[in-house]
Amino acid sequence: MSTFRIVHYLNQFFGGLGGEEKADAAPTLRAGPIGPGVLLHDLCRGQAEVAATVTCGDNRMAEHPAETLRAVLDLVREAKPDLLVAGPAFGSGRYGLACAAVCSAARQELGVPAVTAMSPDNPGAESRGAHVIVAISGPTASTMKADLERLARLAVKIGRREPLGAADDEGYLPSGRRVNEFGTKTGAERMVEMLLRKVRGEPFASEVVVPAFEPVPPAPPVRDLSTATLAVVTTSGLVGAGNPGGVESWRATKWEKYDISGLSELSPDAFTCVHGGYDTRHIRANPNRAVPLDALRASEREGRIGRLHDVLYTTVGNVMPVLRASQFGREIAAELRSAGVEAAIFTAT
Amino acid sequence: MQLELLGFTVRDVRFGARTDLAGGVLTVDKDALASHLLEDPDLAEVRLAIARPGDSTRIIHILDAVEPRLKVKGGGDFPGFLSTPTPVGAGVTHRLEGVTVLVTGTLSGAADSQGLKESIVDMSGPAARYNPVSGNVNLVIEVAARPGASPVESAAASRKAALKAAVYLASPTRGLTPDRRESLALPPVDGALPRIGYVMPAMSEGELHTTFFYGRSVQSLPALVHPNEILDGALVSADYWIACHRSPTYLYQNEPVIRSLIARHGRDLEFAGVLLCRCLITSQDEKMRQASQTAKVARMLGIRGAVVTMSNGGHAYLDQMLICRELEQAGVATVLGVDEYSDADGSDFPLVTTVPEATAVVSMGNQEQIVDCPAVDTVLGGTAFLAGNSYEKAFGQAPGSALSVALRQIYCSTNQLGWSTLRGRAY
Amino acid sequence: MAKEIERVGIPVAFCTAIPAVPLSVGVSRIFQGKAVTCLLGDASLPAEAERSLRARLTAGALATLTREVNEPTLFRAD
Repeated sequence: MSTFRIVHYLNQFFGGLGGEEKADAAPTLRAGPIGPGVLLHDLCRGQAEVAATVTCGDNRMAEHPAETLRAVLDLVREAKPDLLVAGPAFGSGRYGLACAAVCSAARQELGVPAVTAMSPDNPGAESRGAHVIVAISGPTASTMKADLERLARLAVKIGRREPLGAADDEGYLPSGRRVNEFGTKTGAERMVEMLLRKVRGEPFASEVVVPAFEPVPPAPPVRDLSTATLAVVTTSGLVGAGNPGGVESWRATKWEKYDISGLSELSPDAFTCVHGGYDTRHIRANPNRAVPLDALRASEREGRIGRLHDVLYTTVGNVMPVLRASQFGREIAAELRSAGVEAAIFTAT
Repeated sequence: MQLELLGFTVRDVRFGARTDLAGGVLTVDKDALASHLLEDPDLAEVRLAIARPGDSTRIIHILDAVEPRLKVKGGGDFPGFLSTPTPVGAGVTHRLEGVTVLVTGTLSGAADSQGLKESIVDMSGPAARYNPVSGNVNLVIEVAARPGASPVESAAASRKAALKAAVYLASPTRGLTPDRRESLALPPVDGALPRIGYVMPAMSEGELHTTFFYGRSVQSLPALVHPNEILDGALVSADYWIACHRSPTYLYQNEPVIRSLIARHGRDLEFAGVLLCRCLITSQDEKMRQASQTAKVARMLGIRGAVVTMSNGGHAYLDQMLICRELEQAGVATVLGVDEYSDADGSDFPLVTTVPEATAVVSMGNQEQIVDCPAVDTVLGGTAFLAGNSYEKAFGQAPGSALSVALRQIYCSTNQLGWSTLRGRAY
Repeated sequence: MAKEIERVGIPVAFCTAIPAVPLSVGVSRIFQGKAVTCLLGDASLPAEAERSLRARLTAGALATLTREVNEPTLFRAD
């Protein structure tokens, strides 16, 4: 493959326009490499050339994102890139956000592959879109040379459409994709080695990074249950007798609705349980143990709740993928909203 | 406690007129072994076959894998099953290296949560490297229990057959000179080395799916166990759930974490022992009690760090995560062994549940990765895939045909004890 | 799933035998059920006694819907 064209995005400082006083600088396009682009060009060792540089002030991008991004993208398009490289932005938040935005837009709107570099805690790292590779850099320009070497290596691979190896090996931030590989050490050996490093206070790299779950603010309480409409949602695996919809016993791919209007309780002749993660005999013998329709009807009769929604929503919660569970939740939530449901009883096992 | 483990290398297994071991070839008197096993009135039928590395053979319906062993001194074979439940882990034990007994069957009457999941071993092709026995010569014993036996009785009969066969195959080593000698013990070490424990929650979900410790199901209060006990037959598997997770008896006899910790004992660490407890506890209070009791015992033992594995999936992750949290809060550093539910394309978050204290996690791979298994000449263990796995589309096919299945169906492929070098990595 | 329902402003009484999961995920109103295999009941009780146990558990779950909470909170039957 012949040399491919890199268009390099830099802020006002690394683009040589000036410091904070030039942070409002409008996007400009210049031929050839500038500032860190000179070394980037050299590090690509003839496999790629930094053909042009687009420079823009960080504040301008932060304060007028839509129009500035549009202008930057026009300049990038004009320079006919095979690959867009942005930064490194190091720990600079505004610069990092700009690099991420320019890369995402180049990828989505121009169909141009894009790579940037920044420190992992840069807010730009969080905001990057799908398919934008972020090389890891240090927090300041003091590691410029090593950071550009990593960036150049990734840029050449991406520009040549070569597959990337694992994030740890290549030095980029994980994209969220998991891939199985055989290694040289067994899992048991890796566990013991990692433990020894942890006990000794040495650095170690967890093979799965546990995220903090995104909090959802609690919904406000129901003011008066005696007038409220309630719905029942269950992941207990309760389905109609014979499982007519074919809900899977684990990692279910569907949720179902059953009309329970007119039912005073759930009969074992009409309902069964297909959850594959626990012993379901007790539930199959008396489905009210999973969805307490008998008790809820009594509450309805006694006026302690307004009324019970006519539809029962059900699926199997057994090791359901997180993303699918969220999707099912959103779909059911939309139905509940449009039906005017004010509160929900959710039974899970 | 010192165990002399004497290894006899077996390069091939053949059926012949008399059971013996000579020149690395184990000859098995098929009829004698079959009638030995059929002495059990709960067994109606046994079929014996041999599967060698590289054979175009697929084995299905695997219930357990056992390494042939013979206790020569200091205790009995598979205590709690074939001998009294008195401690093992000392004395002399013979083992056949390179051979496994694979017992297969369908557990008549098994259904729903007391069911049996399919589990596959390919002896050659791209799927072979995902299971721990394709490099061994396997004696495959297909069993059928007496008509009318319950699933629990069927499983018990298959287990007894596997253990008896394991002892039968190792019996010719009596009086022979071993190829390899190992002396396993935990002698006193330099006090400056960190004391390390191994917290081992073994699966137990009920009567059918469980793990036996000296013949009884593991409990949810941590038991302090000498690692030699586990290597010497104290733990026997009765897990018939998801194939990829299974910890067969074979992996307890060759427990990889214990092996790794013993190898480093006196060099990098002091191995304080195994805290054996339970996975898949169904009550919240019992889950919490186990986790806090485990942390308490670890503290009393002066343990600074612990490997925490798990067995099976689903809410077994919670048992592990609660133990992790309690240990970390008690000042005991943890590393967790897990496998992943990352979806076939690797896009989903890998774990079922987590705690913020889980900062050191080792992944044995994504069980949902698809693996291609080419068509084979021979199928052992059964004639059709189990109907209970209807969600796996490939299972509508004949078992000898070419399959694309998730690793989930491949025996022990992502087992969390970490026998394999397979790992899930972030891209 | 329950979090998505809360997200649109509908309060959810999350009944489970194993509250540690929803607590770690951040579900707001969690109600302690009886057992995984028998969430709102007890198969060892005579039918009438079980029915009144279920009425009590259900009332407890309903009551959580009227409670103000600021973080994942576990409720039990009175």
